[in-house]
Amino acid sequence: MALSKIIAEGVDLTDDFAFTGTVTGAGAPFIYFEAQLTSDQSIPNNSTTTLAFNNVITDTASAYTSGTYRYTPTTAGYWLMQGRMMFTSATIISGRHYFKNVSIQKNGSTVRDYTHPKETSNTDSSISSDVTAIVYANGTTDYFTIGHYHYDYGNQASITAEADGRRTYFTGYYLGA
Amino acid sequence: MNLTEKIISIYPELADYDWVNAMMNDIILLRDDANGEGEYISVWNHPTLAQPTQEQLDAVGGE
Repeated sequence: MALSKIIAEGVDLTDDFAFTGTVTGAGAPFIYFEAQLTSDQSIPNNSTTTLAFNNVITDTASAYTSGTYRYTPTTAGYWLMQGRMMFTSATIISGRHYFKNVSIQKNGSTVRDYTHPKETSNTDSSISSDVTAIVYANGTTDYFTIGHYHYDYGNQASITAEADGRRTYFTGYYLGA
Repeated sequence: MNLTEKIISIYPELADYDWVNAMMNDIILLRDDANGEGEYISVWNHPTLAQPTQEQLDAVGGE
């Protein structure tokens, strides 16, 4: 539709429009995904461990590989990524001192992380970690995973991520080029 | 026996090592890709100790 025609006659925004060409300047496409755990995951002490998000809740671009827990964006640009996890209460022992670090991994390396300790004075029986960041993807080979590291200063024990989609998930949203 | 314990068995001087500092500064980084292969040494930049070989790790015991 010629621009002059739009100006001359106006556009009825309640009408349907079937564009067959490329529309630019209309905002970013709506691309997003979310994956969760299907079962609790044991995480060894002192190893940065990939969270096994193998339950794909939504994936508008079919870009998530549940077998490797990777999201490989097929659109280049900036993405908002978030990973969050809750530990089951049975594995967080009151009075123990933990160091915890959750990270967004790009191509297997940490690009953003968040660190927090669980002090011995904290007697809560559960604790969560989350990380959110804007990251760039080339739209072809770059992939993202969520990693988690913890160090138990008491027993050097493993901990368990809770498979509850309300609290443990990996999600991302395309922001734009 | 986890990977950290195996490494300490090979290098007892690492029993009191600051593993968190090592992880945060890419001195020693252990990983588990959750693919069933278990833990492995991803990065080893210790200034004086050589990275343990797989044979050494295998020799100090199973899981």
